[in-house]
Amino acid sequence: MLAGEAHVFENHDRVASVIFFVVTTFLYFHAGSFPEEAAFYPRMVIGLMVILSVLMFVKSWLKSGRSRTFEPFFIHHKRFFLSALLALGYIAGVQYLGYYSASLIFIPTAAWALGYRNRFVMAATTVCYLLFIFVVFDQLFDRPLTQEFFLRH
Amino acid sequence: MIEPFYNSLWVILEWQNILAMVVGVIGGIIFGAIPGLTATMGIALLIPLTFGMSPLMALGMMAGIHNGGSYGGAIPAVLLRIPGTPGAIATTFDGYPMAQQGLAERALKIACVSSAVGGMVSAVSLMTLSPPLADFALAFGPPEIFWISLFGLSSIAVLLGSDPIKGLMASCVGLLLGMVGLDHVTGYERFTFDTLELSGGLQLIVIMVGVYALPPAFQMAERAVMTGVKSKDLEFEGRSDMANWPWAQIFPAWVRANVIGIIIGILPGVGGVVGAFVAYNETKRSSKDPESFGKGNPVGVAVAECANNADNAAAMIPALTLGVPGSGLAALILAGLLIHGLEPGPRLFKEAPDVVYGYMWAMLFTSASLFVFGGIIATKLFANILRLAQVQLMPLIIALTVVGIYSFENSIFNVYLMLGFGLFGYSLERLKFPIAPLILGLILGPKVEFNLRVALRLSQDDWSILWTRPISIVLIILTALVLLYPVISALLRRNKDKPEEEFAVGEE
Repeated sequence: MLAGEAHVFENHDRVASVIFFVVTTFLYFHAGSFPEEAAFYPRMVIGLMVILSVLMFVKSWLKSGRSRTFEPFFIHHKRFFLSALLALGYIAGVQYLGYYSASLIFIPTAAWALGYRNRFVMAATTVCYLLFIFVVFDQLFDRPLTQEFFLRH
Repeated sequence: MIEPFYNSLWVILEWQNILAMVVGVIGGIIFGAIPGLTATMGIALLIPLTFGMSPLMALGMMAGIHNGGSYGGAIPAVLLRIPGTPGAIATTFDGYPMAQQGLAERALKIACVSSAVGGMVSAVSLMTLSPPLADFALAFGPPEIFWISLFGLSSIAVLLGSDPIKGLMASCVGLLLGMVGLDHVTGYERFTFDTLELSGGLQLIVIMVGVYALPPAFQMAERAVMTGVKSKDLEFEGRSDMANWPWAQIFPAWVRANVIGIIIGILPGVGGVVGAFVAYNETKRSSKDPESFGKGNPVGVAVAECANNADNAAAMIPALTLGVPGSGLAALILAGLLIHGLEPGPRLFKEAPDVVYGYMWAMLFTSASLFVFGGIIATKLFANILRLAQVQLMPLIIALTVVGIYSFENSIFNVYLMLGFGLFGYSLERLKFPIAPLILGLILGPKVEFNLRVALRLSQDDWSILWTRPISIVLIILTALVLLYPVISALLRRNKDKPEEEFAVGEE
């Protein structure tokens, strides 16, 4: 059982080394299309990365027989993807709805989606946060934010 | 030498700068006190707030976060045996047993005073060692700058994490990201893949906030801790009388912690965690009562916290003078300087003395301010931050990163890019790649390339210019030693183990 678990653990490094190898090999050849002077330094660094990815693969291969504690890649994959999607949706919301409107929706929604249920604390946190942003970014430093959809003419 | 210190003292004492330092210290203690958040993340998150500030005000705030964060980690370390920051791990050894014996207040007070002492002595070392080192560094030409940058990069890559291959890979990723955009010599676009927004290059702040601030937010979401710490776990009674502290043991422990912390802080790649451990072990080894360590000895708390903070300003010595930071956090502060249009290195001492010397004062004052803000009433208040449910913090962190990055260049493309780097940083963190070499590679990459190309132009493509000058030779040897360190240490370990194995076989 332990050996099987160790195999899974080591696979993370092996998968990463293969990804690094493929990407860096592609970039190495891509850099070949640059003028010689502009290509020299990138190819030097990327060449080193190709070697390092091979070393990483060999190391993970050599280590694969040893027993290790299993450590999954994600702590909780469903909540990870949920939070990543929420963040992506939030950025799209900031782009199309405006920063304040999107944040007003995102902060309580994200906490709710992750299982938090104290409505009063969620509302208070959201209001305090937006006030803080308004004072610091708008009033104090005069940094422009995305235009609010509901205030557009 | 005295004049720039004198002039900058009046600049740093302007009310705006004092306010920035106070906000920084309070923010730093809060970030340090919440497990999962660190001073590094605090600086990454709050750098966008400093865009509208003067460089010195921004650096004052960063100095406050740096010193406040280093102490803040001690609060949960003592009360809950959870180090708020990695540097506070050694504080748990005696801090938590003291809290269990009803001496939490004494442990926190010792931690606070020791942190302040460590930070102040470290700031004095920064003030005294940096100017002569900067004068010396002015003699560096392109080959020396090329090698010192490579030395700093190799040190952080090899010594910081547990796997040198991953460290080197992370620094190469940083170097690669630093190449994206127009090549300044040929004008050719590199790695932009015809994306207009990338032709100007990747912004340091975008990558920095992505890889430092977003991964902890995602991990908070994954853990989804719905409740904070219960208030009864944060209660501590009794009064700590400083007169009853074991001064005869604490004072020599502070001296030892400061010497070790400062030396380790200056070395690139070896941070406060190592300093605190080494100083703790040395104090325990030389103690007349080593058995009491780990069971609630106040000297253990004093030495761990003092050494942890002694590396703060010391790590900035190579950062300010050579442009090569001694720790991940120093790399972030360096990035902060770059964002405000200041190029770290010896010339900065001539071009912006008020900023450099003012920053040194800020490190000293923010350390000293821990006596006030780390006092027992404040500590009780900060401890209550632990009552917040972490699940509430995740959307706030994401919202704060979005507003910060958007307001940097009013670019939503940068915000998407930051999210991409956040996911990339999360993957690196889960695969146990160190993040600091990536940031350092990003900072030093253009410098390495520029100086290599200038050196080769000066010598008309004669590569020997890189290894014929005396300082270059020293730097090459140091870089080679750092790169070979894992191999050498593995061989030494094997030789050390061998006689024992042979003995064991012989016994059989």
